[in-house]
Amino acid sequence: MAQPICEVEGITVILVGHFNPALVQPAWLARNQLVRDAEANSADIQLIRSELSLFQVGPFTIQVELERFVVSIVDIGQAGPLRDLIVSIFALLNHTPVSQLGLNRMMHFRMPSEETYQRVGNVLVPKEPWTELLREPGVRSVTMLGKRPESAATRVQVTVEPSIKVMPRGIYVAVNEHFELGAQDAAPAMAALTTNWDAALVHARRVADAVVQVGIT
Amino acid sequence: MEAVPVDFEPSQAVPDETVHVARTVVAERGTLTSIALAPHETQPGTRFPNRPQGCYFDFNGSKPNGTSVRTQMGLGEKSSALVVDPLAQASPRVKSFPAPPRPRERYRVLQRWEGTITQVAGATFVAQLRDLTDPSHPLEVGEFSLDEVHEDDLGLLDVGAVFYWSVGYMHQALGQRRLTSEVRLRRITWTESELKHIDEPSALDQFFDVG
Repeated sequence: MAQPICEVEGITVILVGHFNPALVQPAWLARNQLVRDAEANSADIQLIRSELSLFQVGPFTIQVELERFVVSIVDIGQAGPLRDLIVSIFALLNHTPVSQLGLNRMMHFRMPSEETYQRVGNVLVPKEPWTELLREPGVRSVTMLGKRPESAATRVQVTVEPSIKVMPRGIYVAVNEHFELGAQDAAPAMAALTTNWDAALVHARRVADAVVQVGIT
Repeated sequence: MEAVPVDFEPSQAVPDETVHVARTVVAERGTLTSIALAPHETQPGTRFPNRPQGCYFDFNGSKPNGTSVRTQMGLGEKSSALVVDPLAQASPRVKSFPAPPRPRERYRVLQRWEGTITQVAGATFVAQLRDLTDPSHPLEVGEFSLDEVHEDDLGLLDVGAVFYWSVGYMHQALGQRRLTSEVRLRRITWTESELKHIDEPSALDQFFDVG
């Protein structure tokens, strides 16, 4: 039987704390040998200011605000380098206070048929309670909260929606693993990142696969 | 109908550009106090009557001097963001901010490994490979040509160095699909053992504790 295919995938890491947007820029990353010189020289810089820094360097999209530090990739093959980049940045900026960490894996699947696509929504949110209340009820978004076994994360949030990137028959699954740290520096966040990285990413994919499989079985 | 609060996390429901606009409003003008997603029909005069999703985002914020800022953006808005300053009542001032960089290609990874170099000889190197796609797979050994390595990474090649190897498809904007293989040497300023020991008491800590 045809299976769902994950056609678009990405990872975003979000740190909440106090940051210096103007400091983190491609030249600084290259100077500290955290990216290739060629990547820094060809970086796509959108904005570098004291309040907001936004650029693409190599496979990484980096957005630094005064209170948020966000790094994303759209090539899952760069997951390891993404982790190394973040941990290396905060090894250099180790006195940066980081109070929260979010590991996010977003996946867009194409379902093999309209029937399997519809079944995912029907299984996750049965229509029966709604048919008396709404005409043509449909699932716009489902969010579940829980915890991952063996993780110190405060919570894991799973969001399932119709995809706006993969159409038709696209299903979007995002898994967010959130850590409340309340720390005075970056070390606890980096320890949480390295300790949980592989397991969180594998778990996110396992969750997403299980979600889309409810449309198949 | 009551507006539905939207979590300010990266989500496909909140387009990147929209999030960027909100953050730029924060950076440029003050503090963002709320974001709401509301159906069109409840908001007369919306700028996005033809959006298929039928919704728009309503950002409310405040400037440091206490005056409020409000801006709207349609769900699914993909162009460079426009922010209307409602404080200029007679002639709204429109600002254009750059949208975040958007990937021109998308990738579908077939398999990825983490390699540890065990030997560098001539124009090749040998490595032990750990399957990151399925960690239950046993370790493998592979031999690579130096041609696989980006010239900026050649200086990092050494016995014991770690690299990431991924194989997959790159889908280009015009629909072309290419099989790709990339080797990327690890660049770190830390070691895992260093990180693990950060929270452990140092010898000095232990001395004072004992004391």
